[in-house]
Amino acid sequence: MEIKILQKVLQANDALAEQTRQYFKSKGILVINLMGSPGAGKTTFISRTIEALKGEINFAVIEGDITSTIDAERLSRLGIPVVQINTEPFDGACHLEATWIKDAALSFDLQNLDVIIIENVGNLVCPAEFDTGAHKNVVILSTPEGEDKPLKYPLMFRVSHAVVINKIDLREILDYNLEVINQNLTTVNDALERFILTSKTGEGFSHWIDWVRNQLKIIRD
Amino acid sequence: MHELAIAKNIMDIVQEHIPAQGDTVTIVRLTLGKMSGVVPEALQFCFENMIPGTPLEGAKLAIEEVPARAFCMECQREFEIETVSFLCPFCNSPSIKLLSGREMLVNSIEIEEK
Repeated sequence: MEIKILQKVLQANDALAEQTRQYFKSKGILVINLMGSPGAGKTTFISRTIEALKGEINFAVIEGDITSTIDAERLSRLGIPVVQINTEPFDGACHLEATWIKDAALSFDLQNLDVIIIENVGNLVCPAEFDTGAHKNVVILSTPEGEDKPLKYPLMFRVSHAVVINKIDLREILDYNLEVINQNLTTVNDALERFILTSKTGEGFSHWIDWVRNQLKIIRD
Repeated sequence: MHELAIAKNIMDIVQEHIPAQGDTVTIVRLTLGKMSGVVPEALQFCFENMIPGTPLEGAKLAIEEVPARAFCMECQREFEIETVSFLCPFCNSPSIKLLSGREMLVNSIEIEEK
């Protein structure tokens, strides 16, 4: 006997993600999901962003890692609320799912919060598949990873709203070609907002910081 | 290996649809878009390793792949995305609308009644 089902495999996750997105919008809190390879510089980039907006925007961070609390410890030195999600008990998942994000986000004191940043598990494949409930997906690429990543991981660049090219201070040493990366980004997703910067010195950050301010404004309008 | 989480989601959906206790599932039909980001072989492997001891034991996972198709907003033509380029192959425009390719759907199941 055949039974028709016609149900999306990730329907449960997608529905919960949509609820989370609506809920945080109603609270005037912007949720950003930051994705990128291990070593792209996600944690340092988050640190620099939080420091640049200190006194103006209150942040909280959800840290996703398979194991360890190294990143959470680094970020809590900034005096902000941080929750670590370890995916080890969930089959060592290489991504974060909407239900874990919702629980983690609701553990913050939402009264004094403006922006929640999710640092997803370092990976350009799996996190692209699972909607976290964030309002904006941002992918960070560092110059040592080369210019070809958008072509190798198109889904990640298709689901993202913005891309950060990090470690641009290494551009000359690596012969990094900005024209090629720009062309590859256009080929995969022309609508991507692009930021070229380095977290080491803060060069190029002002454009990104303005974007964060603006996204928060949009959520609250 | 997010295929493990995907296989688990498939199993949960299938188990919710088994009509009566003791019924077993012989086939699970899945629709998978070319752009879904799922490796069919990895999904098969995870599925096969998960089903023993459940009503799905021995079930076949039949995957139907759907090509990625898009529509160009500029020149109004439809095309298949075969490479990683999301530009229109006719006019090179980046304003395209994806028509298919991201599907990940439990289509139907075949049940053997007790």
